Amino acid sequence: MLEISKVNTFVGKKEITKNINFKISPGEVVGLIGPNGAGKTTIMKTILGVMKFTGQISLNKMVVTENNHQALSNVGALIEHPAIYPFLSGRENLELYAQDQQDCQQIISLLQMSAYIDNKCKGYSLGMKQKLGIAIALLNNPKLVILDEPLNGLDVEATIVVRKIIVKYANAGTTFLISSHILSELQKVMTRIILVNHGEIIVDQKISDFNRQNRPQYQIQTDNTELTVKLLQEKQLQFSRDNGELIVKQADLFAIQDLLYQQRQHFIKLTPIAINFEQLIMNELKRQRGEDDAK
Amino acid sequence: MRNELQLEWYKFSKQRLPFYGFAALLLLMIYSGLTSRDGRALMLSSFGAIQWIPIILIAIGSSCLDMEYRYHTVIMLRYKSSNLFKSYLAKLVIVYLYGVVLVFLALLLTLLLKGIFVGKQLSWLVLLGGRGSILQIAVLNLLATMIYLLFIVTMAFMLILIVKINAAVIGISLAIGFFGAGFSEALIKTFSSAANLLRWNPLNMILITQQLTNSQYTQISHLTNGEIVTGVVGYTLLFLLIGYQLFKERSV
Repeated sequence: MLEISKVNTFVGKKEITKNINFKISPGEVVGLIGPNGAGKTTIMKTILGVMKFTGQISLNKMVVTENNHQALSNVGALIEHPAIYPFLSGRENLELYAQDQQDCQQIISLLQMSAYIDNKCKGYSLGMKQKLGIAIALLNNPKLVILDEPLNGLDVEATIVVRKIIVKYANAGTTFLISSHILSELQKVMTRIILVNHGEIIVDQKISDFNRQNRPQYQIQTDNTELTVKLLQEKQLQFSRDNGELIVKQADLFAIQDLLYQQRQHFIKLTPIAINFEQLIMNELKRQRGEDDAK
Repeated sequence: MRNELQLEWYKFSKQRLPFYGFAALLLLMIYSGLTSRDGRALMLSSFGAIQWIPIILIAIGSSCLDMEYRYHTVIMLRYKSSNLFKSYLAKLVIVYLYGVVLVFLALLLTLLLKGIFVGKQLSWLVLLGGRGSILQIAVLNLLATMIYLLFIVTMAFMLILIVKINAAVIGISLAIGFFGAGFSEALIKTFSSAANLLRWNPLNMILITQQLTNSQYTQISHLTNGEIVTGVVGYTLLFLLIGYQLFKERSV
């Protein structure tokens, strides 16, 4: 569907993204995650052919260049701010880009915008503008939808509506590339994670693989700590010591239990330490910074 | 191109900006009528419209392009467009056509204001030497303004892409409108040895609005009528190409 190969993006002579490579298949919901200034928006703009870049971008096997946007006819996008003319009504803004009036009406209903769609946009709140920006991106049944911080300014109800729409469209085969700092929301819809830092991709995995690799940690205490340490070392399990307790990382609960049970070790304590998604991302970024510092 | 023109026309017609332009022209022409006692000059210059229209058009032209950046819609314009040059050109064409409408409006308003500020003491049919009647010269001046507007619109687009601040572009245009011709004349006089080169400076092209109907202006511009028209068209093409390149290159 979307194939990006060896893409470097430039602003003037400054290189913003370095050697970006990824492929996205139809129906995937890809979360593009990273700290501020990591290069997420630049990657999105590059796909839209509005940035200077080297390398190759192709959509459905059609090449995107700065001057040839033929391949982008089936792409919808909301980048940074909703692209809205305030002197037009919401409906008029949609009609500027809509190929089919019925499609227009359907999106208005889906995003629950009927009550104000015929009002001039200059009176819209931030959330209303954001919903309109999403609606424009979803017009004309796009094959690929690029959403940059789509949840900005949305209330809880609107957030749920947008989440449901993303799932509905993705199930129908639409591909999404979404960046958001609201990771808990993104986690609910994405099927794949691309983690970006300093203009480079540092993680590109299916979300299930990412979660599996970042299994919860366990805090254990046994009646023979030194023997337990030896067993963990033999099995090459990652762990750290915290006073008399041991923190075992990225291990399977049953593997730990089996190991210690076979050696007649008695648990005094076995507690999982919950790690949320945000922490995982932070850990990944910290790990990468550590590698950078080591270099 | 048809789609691009339709899109640009739709956006342009839905704004209040064109109506502000009409209102500004009316007020400025009335201002000229109130502040000048020279009825003949008023009629020949269509109550100053040949000077006011370019200024109004610079303000409107630069606003039209600037709004795409202000409203973040330029990204849609850039990536949705199958041919970016067509989108840029369509915007230029719509603003230019608006300028043509302003010229026709100026002609109608001149006929109306003549009755109020000049009265019957001076007829439209009075002949001015071998140049024709006042009416003929006034209409020709407006037609020359139409040619000059090509230069103005492309320059306004180029300026807003360079300066990026609408108010600054309007300030520059006012300076060009009021002092451009005088500055050019002084420049050519001061460096008379380089007059052959300096007569092609863009500020000199402003004189087209009057030179085509008054050969005395050739002594100021140092250009023949054919040369000044060539100069205006040449600068139009140059500004068009530079403006488009800037539009394409400017980060969104």
